[in-house]
Amino acid sequence: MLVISRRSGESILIGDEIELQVMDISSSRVKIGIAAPRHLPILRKEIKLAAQQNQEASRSLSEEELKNLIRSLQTQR
Amino acid sequence: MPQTQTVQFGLLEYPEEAVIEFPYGVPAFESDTRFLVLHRPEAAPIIFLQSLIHAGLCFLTLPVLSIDPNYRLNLHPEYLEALELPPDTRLEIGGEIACLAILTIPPVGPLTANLLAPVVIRTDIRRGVQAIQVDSGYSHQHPILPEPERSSCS
Repeated sequence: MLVISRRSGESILIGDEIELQVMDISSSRVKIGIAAPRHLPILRKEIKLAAQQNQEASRSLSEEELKNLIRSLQTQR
Repeated sequence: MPQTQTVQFGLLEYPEEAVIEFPYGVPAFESDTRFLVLHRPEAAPIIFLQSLIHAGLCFLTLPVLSIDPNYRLNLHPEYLEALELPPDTRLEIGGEIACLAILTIPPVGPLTANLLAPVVIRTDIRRGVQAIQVDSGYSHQHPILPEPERSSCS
């Protein structure tokens, strides 16, 4: 991963079309302004993680799988 | 009583007051804005979260506190707003606040629970959100049962 230090108000360019600007810095938070073409989705990473995890969690289980799961949860507790 | 067709339970009758509204759906399923919370004695401790929009969408969950008794909620104001709570509310699980972790049962690999993004439900007004707990340090793949234990039971 490329690591660059920037001060408040300074920017980084990615290619010709994307600009990330550090708008504000506090002790635990950085505010970032993003200028990018409209067709590029911009997502907080944790929302993408949650979406991917929900996709995986939505897989239907076979009756057998469900039974085994319940049994192992019950014996564990 | 209203009925709904489900893949997991077949035709299901439910009282209207069992419906939880998720104003934003859940990530990846934003149109699923109505869910039933189902407790089945034979499936305990699992609690099912059955979508009323898609018959095939049914999450398996566990109460978060049964996974981590010290679990803390620290909800971003936008989630509090979805639950019709003031932005500075400190939520405690219990009473009218239910908190469920969605389980992932991969074909291979350990069973995990999503502690990063728990489902938080206000049972008094029957509203829910899946709240991503940014900066919490909780994992979206918190291991629950190690793989060998699971297969040895089959």
